[in-house]
Amino acid sequence: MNIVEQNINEDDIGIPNQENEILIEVKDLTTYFYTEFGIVRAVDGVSFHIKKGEFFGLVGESGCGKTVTALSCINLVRFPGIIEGGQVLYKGKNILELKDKDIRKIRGAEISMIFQDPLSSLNPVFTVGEQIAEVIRLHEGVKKDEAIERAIKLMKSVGIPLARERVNDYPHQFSGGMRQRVMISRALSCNPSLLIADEPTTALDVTIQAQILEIIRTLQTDYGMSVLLITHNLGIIAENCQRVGVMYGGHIVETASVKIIFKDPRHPYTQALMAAIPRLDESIEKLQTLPGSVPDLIDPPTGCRFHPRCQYAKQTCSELVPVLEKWTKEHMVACHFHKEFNK
Amino acid sequence: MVTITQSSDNNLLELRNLSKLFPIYVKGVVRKTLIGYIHAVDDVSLDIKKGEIFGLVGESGCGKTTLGRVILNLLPKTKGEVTFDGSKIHELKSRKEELWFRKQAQLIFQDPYLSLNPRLTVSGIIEEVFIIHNRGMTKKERRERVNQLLNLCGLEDYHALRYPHEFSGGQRQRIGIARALAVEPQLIVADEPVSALDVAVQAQILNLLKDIKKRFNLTYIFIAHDLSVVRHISDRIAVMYLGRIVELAPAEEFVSKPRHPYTQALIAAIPIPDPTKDRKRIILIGDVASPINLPSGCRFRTRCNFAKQKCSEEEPKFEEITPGHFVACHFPVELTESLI
Amino acid sequence: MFESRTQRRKKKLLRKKYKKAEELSGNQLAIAFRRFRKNKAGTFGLILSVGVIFLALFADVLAPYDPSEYFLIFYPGYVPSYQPPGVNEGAELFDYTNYISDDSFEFPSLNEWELNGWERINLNASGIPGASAVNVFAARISSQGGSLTQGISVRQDSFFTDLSFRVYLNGTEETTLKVIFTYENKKDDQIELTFSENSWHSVNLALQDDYGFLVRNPEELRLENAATGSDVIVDDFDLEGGKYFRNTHFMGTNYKSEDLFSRLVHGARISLLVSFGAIIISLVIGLPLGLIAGYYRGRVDEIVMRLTDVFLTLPFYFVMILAIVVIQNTRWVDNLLIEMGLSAQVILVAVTFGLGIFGWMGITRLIRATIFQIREADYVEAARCIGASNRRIMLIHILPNVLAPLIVVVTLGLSANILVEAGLAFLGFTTEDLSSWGRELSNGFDYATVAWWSVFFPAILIIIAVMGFNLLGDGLRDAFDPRLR
Repeated sequence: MNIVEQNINEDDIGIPNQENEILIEVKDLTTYFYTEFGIVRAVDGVSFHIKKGEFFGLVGESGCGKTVTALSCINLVRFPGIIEGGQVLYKGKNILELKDKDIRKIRGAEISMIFQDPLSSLNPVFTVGEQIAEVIRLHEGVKKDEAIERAIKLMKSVGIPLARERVNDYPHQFSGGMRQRVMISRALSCNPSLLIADEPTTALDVTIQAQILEIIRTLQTDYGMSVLLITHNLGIIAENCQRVGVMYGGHIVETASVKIIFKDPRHPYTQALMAAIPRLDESIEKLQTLPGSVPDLIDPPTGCRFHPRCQYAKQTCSELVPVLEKWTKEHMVACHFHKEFNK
Repeated sequence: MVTITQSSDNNLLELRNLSKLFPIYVKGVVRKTLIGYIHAVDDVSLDIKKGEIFGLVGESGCGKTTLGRVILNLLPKTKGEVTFDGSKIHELKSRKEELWFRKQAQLIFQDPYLSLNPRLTVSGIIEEVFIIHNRGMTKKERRERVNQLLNLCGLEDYHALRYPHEFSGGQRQRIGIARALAVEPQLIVADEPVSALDVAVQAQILNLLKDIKKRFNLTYIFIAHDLSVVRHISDRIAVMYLGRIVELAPAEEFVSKPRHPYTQALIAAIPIPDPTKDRKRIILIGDVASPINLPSGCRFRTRCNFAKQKCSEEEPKFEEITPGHFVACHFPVELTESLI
Repeated sequence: MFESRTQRRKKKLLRKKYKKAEELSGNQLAIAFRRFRKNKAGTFGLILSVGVIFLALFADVLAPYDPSEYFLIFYPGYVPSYQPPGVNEGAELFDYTNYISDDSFEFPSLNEWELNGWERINLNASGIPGASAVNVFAARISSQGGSLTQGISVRQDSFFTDLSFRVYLNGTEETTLKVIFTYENKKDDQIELTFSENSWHSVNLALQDDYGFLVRNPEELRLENAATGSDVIVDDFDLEGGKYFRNTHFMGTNYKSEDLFSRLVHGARISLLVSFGAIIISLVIGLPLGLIAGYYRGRVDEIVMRLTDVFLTLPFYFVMILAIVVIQNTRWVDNLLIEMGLSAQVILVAVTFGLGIFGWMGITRLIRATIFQIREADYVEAARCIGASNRRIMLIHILPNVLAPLIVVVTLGLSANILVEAGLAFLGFTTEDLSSWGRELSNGFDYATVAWWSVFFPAILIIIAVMGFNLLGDGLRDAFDPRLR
């Protein structure tokens, strides 16, 4: 892992140079859902980038657009969702403009994904070995025996005991944690350079969650893979990620390296979010709360989407949409007044 | 196994050797055959003091929800007894006695979407309480009382005439709390009341629960899987593993000096939103054992990093090792460094 | 271009959104019905179902003719009794000149009658007091034995021969006529018929022997005034000159020359009566069984479920046929039914009960499953927790939530019953003198190639009714679907 001690005022925050190369860059990504209730502006002009070998987290409350962002990154948004605009540059190529055939080559091989519910993403009528081997054969065209052999190796690497025996088991014969491991080993089967993990541990118990995150972390360092971790749990972000983007109402409101953002959150929403969570290591008498509720993305507030709940809101906030501005080199904030207040 | 025998006047609720087993049948052509039991709650003895918030944590399937239901007599017990304010609540005979107990203890549910009857208005949901318990009340009085309760829980008068589906998750949970408060209970069992809610809403509900606790001098049994939430709200915390309580301690001590290896792993596994902390990681091996075929001896030994021969032979007793701190472990671990 | 398309879509959806918000307020049932109204297929189904019910309720007013009135016409090329949809005018349809010497022409199923062709009949009406003429028209003439035989409509199949004709008594008073059949080796048969003056009469006579099924061809048929004994001679029967009738059968007529539309309208009454009756019987059995199985579970549930299994494994049609045969051949049942005044409708009653007794399993299973679900819902537990009694939980928390799926299953059950009733009637399990859709379909089936309307219209009506109730049921299910809440 490459977390380097950094100071807020230091302009050069850095991860070593050879890894400073950007792997995937999302620019102004906009995805709308045309539902019968109206247009849901699920993702509205989201920009961020992930460097090679970086553990990037995307955090936000439910319905803020984090999952849709991830799906849009690999052009997997289903109707009624439509990617309205923006670019997803993966190694310089815009994924959104690639042909179906070319995207399929990238999906699963170079960018793979794991989801919250492992049972529904595994086919119940095939053994897990066959399902992992299928991905390998699809992308690399090796023989079945060889693919199964590799599947066993992969299952061992994610800590599935008795992998050789269990390779012929069906998904329902595995527990929740083991299923998620199977999913991870399938995702890793072609040595992806980016792993998108969408709430991979939300359905699991904390001790199992710790196991799974440990595996992802180890694999990330071992294979030099980049990870996009989507979660609502700030604790998971703090303990695993290097950089983080905070999403609110379809916008990214703040991105920074994890160490900086937890020390000096600049956006009022990030601040409120951090003050609202009860912590294991501190005894707080009263939690700070946010008034109101998550914005309706069909009819979002004008200007800054957070302004109706923001204690610092001024006239400008309801009129102008703030853009991500540089605060320090690795710290971007989308707030009109982020310079004026302190935590 | 009983280590707490003396009861004191200070206790609102006393559980003695309480067990709840669910039989499992295999269906044959003609008859069902019993093949075993799920040990949901197994020989639990506890005292809940008046006015405290008692936190109960554990992973899914450990029996914490079942324990809550048995305490409220929503599920029959298998063995043992539950004494509330001096009466054994599973042995209440008459309807009058049952209504008395229903007025004393209430439940707050996890899923705010399932806990409100979709065919009734909010006012209808809460008024039902008065229809059952306060027969003399006029409709006008009931309405007034409903409005009072709604205001107390942060809702407005006009919400009374709406249907549950018109509310957000947090608001529904407030309605659920208002319903629980309507009987003016002494004890509230809150079963994962915030786990279905977003962070910001979760904080609102936690604050609300704390406020009304102070205001009405309530006693809570707060059941949750999220230790951070439990620690935030509770005075004492107990952790359950496969139907047993394995450790019980005052909240502060529970997180700073846990003695049971399972508690330690649990605490170490909770992510803390502070990237500067370099925490010790304890990764447990494998999954929870089946609650049907329990391991011999200590139930945790299959995953325990410190398991010895004795652990598989003898069940550890639930003993007080320092005042107020109970552990069920043969070899309680002394920590050298903090886990949080 | 792209922008404007999005803009347009946006506006449209915003409008929709406000509508939706309006819709989402209020009681759940109200929402369901509002949502139902938006469902086009469901609304269409509702219209169809209401239409069919309307037909059944107002059959007497809607049917243009008495369903058992015969409208005879000979139409060369067709089996005599069937008339195609449309206006049927006697004179226009009788163009004798073309057929008078056509020896090759034969009616399809009337081989035993040697036919020479068509002739004009001139009969003297002197036998009837004050009558200028008795018009027996649409007569077919056989020259057998040298005398005239006025077999007017002849339907002959393996069971019986019947003789139908239509008479217009152009007299001043009611007259009783004697119809006399003369046989070669047997004494005459005769029957007396009373006709009122100045109106048309349809006559249908079955020719049978003492055992009731043998076919006999009369040598001669005579009409006689019963009061005076004098022959009725009909003369000056001018087919080319006058339009003796003008009937509109917009669905044509059936094999008996009955107006098909009137038959079907009255048939709707029978079909719906049987279906509704059956579903009510199913409800009476199925609802309480489902409720107790769902609420008490355990052993009770086990017994009820095995009972449904037993009923589901019984072959319905076989049991039905067996039951009807047994009922018809059991004397005491017969007597009982006669006492109850139901002897004529015995088969319909049997079919209704049969459908009801074999139709409750679905209802029981649905109610049981729904209650299983609702019992586990937190709000039922919450009600128990505030001390609500079992009765209160049943009535306030469980039953209203069962209502929605119940409405759906009843609607779908109705359409299934209509279909099965038609099937049974098609197989012959229906009451002979009452019309029902399945029976009309079955009757028309034999001559479907020549008289398409006789199968087409009954089939269409069955389809409309079944589709209507099915669409209605599906629409209601969508409207109540909790996933859309």
